[in-house]
Amino acid sequence: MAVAGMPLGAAAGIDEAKLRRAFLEEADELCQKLGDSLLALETDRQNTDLVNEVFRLTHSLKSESALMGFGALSELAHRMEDVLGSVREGRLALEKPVMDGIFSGSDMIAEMMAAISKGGNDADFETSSILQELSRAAGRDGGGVSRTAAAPAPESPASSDMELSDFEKRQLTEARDRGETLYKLTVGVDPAEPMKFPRAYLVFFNLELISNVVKVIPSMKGEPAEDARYTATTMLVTTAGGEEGLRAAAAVDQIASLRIERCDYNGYLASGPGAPGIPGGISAAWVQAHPEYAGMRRMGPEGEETPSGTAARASAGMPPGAAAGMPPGAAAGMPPGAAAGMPPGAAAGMPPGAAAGMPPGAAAVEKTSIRVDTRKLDDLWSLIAELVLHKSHIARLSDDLAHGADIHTVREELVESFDSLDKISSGMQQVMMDTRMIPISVIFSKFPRLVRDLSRKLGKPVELVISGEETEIDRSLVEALSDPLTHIIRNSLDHGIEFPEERVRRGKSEKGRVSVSARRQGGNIVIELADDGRGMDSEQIRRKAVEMGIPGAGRFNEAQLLELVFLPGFSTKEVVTDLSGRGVGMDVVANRIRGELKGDVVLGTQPGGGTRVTLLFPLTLTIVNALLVRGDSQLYAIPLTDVDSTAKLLATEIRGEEGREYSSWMDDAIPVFSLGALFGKGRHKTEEYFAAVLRHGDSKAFLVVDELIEERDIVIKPVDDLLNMQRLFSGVSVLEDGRLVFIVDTSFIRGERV
Amino acid sequence: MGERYVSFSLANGHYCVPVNQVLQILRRENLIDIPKPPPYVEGVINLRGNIIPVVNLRARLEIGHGEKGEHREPDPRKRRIIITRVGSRSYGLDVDEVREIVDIDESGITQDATSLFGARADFIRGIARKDESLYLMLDLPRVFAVGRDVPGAVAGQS
Repeated sequence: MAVAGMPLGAAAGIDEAKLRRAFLEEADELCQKLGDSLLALETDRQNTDLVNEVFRLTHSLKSESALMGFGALSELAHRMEDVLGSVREGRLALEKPVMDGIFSGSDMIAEMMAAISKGGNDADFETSSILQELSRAAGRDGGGVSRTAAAPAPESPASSDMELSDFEKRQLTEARDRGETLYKLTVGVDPAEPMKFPRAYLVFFNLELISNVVKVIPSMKGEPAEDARYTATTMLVTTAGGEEGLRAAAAVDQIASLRIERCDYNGYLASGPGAPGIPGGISAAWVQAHPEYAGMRRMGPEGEETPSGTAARASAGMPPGAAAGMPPGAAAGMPPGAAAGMPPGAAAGMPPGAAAGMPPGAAAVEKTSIRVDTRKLDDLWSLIAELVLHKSHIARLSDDLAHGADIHTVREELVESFDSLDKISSGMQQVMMDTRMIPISVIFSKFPRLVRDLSRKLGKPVELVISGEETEIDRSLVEALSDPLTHIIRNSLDHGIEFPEERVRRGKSEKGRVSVSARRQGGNIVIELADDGRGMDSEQIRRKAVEMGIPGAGRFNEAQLLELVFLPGFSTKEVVTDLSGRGVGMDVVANRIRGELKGDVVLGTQPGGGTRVTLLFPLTLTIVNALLVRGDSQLYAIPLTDVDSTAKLLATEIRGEEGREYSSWMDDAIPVFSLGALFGKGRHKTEEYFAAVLRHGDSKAFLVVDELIEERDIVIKPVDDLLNMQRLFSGVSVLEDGRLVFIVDTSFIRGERV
Repeated sequence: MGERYVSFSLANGHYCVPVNQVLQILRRENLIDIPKPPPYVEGVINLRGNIIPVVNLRARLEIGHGEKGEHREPDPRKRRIIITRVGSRSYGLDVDEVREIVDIDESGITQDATSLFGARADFIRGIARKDESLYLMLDLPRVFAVGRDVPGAVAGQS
C-alpha cells in the first residue's frame, strides 16, 4: 500500500516546522551576535560601526520574528531598534540606562528564543516593563526634536507605507459602501530572480482586471522603483468576489509566495498623513505582518533597508501553502485523510525525517541540523570515491574468478582491497567524528557577559581571561558542559574573588582575575577554571567534615578533604546568595563530569591564593574502545578506560557471603560482582571464573563474566531509562549482526568498600 | 474538527493515542530480550539502529490483575507494535489489534470518569465516546515513565 510507513508524526504542517527550524537557527545566531556586539559596544560606546551592527541585528530579529508570527519578540526587537535608531542618528546618547535597556531587551529575546525552541511561545513573556524601560531610555532624546522631522525624508512618494491619500481613502469608502471586501495581498518574488518588477507587475495587472486595486507598494505606476524592492509587493484591493478570484489572478509563474489577508476598512480609513512614523526601515513585508502598524511611515536611509535581506528571504523560502496564509487545518487535515486507509501493521521503512529527527539523548528537539565545514565534506567525498573504486575492483575479482583466474592471485588482491577498505572506513569514521566537533567557544562566548553581570551585581571588578576557545569538542558535550562551567565561574566570583577593599588589604590588585582555558591533551579535553581569590582552607573543610560526622575526616589528607567539596550538601560557605544558591553545587558538577562525561574533576587551592578547577574528559562519547564480554546470552561492553585488567578467579579465592563477596587484588581486598547476579539468574557455579577488574576513581572491583570476548570500538547510543531501571548502563550499542550490547557504567562500584 | 487518534484494542477495551504521536505501526516481530527489564517492558526493537523499548500495555495497565470479566488472549496474527513519539524519544506499545483512525472532538472527552478504571486511571488522560464505542485515551508520558511498577499501590511512591 502506498501509505505504508507513512510519517504520521509529521502529519501536521511539516513545512511550518521546517520554516520554524530555519528561523530558530538564524535567529539564534543573530541573538548570539547581538550579545557579543553589545558587550563590545559597552566598552567602546563611540564606535559607530558597532552601533550600526547592533541596529542591523535587532532589525533582522524584528523582521524575521514578525514573519514567523512571534509578535511579542518582534515588538521588543522593534523597540530596541527604535532606540538604537535614535542613537545612530545622534539624537540619543548611549548612556547607561539606554545600554541597560538594550541589554535587558537582548536577554529577554534570548529567553524567548529558548522558550520557542522548546516549543513554547514568546507571548508568555511579560515584556511591558522592558518596553517601558526602553521608552524611558529613548525619551531622553531632548524632546525638542520631533522624530518625523529628524528622520530623512522618504526618497520617493512610493516608499511611504500604507499611508493613504484622500483620493485613495475615498475609493475605500466607496468600496465599503458597495459592500466589497478589503484585502491586502503580499506578493513575494524570489530575490534571486533577475527581473522582479515584471513578475509583480503581472500580478498587479491581473488583479486590476478582476478587482479594484487601491494601493501598491512599491508603486507600479510611473517609473518603477529599484528592482530589489519588488521582492515583497503589498497591494490593497477591494473586490466583491472572494479570495479565490484573487488567488487565481495572482497565480503567476515565478511568484515565490502569496499572502492574502482580509482587512478592516476602519484600520485604513483612520490612518492618514500625520500619523506618527516609526523610524528604522520597516519593510513592507513586516508591516503587512503587523496590521496594527499599518499607519507607520518607513523612514531610515535606504542603505540600511533590508528588504532583499532577511524579510524577503524568509518569505521566498516559505512554502506556498504557509505563505499564502492557508489555514493550518488545511495542511494538518491532509495526511490523516490518507491515514484512514492505513493498513494495520503495514510495516515499512521509517520515514527519513523521523529517523533523522531522533536526537541522541535529551538534546533539544528543534536543533537537528548542523553546520559543517565544507572541507570536511570534501574529505568525505574523496573517501567515498575511493570506496566506489574498490567496490568495482571487488566486482571484477569475482568476475575473474568466474572465468577461472588463479585463486591465489585473486586472494592476494582481495586481501589488498580489504586493507584499503579498512583504511577507507576508518577514514570515514574520522571525518564523521570531525563533523561532530565544534569549537568550545560556543560555551565560552557566554562567559564575558556572565562575568560582567555578576561582577556588577556583586561589586567585584573582575577581569576574565579566556584562552583555547578554538579547542574542538563533541557537539553532544556542549549541553552537558555548559551548566557546570557556568556554575564554577559563578562560584569563583561569588565565593572566590574578594571584595576590592579586602583584596587591597591583602596586597592584591583591586581587580580580581578569572581565567578559563581549554586544550586538547591526547584523547582528552582539559578545561581549567582558575581565580586569584581567597582560595579554600583545607583545615576549615576538615572541621566542617568532622562537624558533619564524616567518618575518618580527621585523618584525611588534603586531596581527600578537597574531594569532600563534591559531596552533596557540603559547603563551607555559609552565606547563600541568589547567585550560587544552595542545592546546585559542586556535587552536580562532579556528577556531570564524572558520570555523564566519563571524566574527572580535580580541585587545587591555595588559601589566599585562589582556586583552580580542572576538568578532564574524553574527546568524544559516541565511540569508545571497550571490552566486550558475555553474561548468559547477553553481550555487555565495558569502556577500556574503566577496565584495569582482566583476571582469572578461582572459586576458592572468592570469600564473603553471597551479595557481599570479595577477593584479593594486589595487596587489597576488593568486591566481587558478577554479570549473572546483576542481570541474570545468578552466577553459574564453576571452579574458575573470568573477570574484568573494573575501576572507577579510586574504587576497584571484580566483575565476573561468562566470557571475555574482545576489545573493539563500539558506537554508543543513549539508553532509555525504561531499559535502565538500575542505572547500571551508560548506553547501548548495536553490533553489525544486530546483536544488542549494553554498556556498563562502572560507577556502581563506587563507594563499595570491603 | 477534532483531533485524530489511532485506536486499538486491548483485552476487551478500546484505547487510542493521537495520530501525531504515532510514528509507525509494526508487526510484532524481532523483539530483543534485555537483561532484567521492568515487568511491563517486553524488550526492545531495533528500528534503523535506534533501540526502542516496547511496553506491554496489558502488564502496564494491569489488565487481568484481579479484575472480573473474561480477557481473551490476543490473536497473535493481529498483534502489533505502535511506535509512538514522546518528546524526543520513541517507545513501542504492544497492543492486541490496531483498529482505525477516529476523529474525536475535544468537547467529547471527559476526564471525570477515569477513576472508574481503577489502577489504570493513572495512565488514562480521558475517555471519549464516539459512535457506539468508548475510547480510553492513553497518557503516553505516564505510560512510559520510569517507576511505579505497581501504579497506585503505595501512595506517594514514585
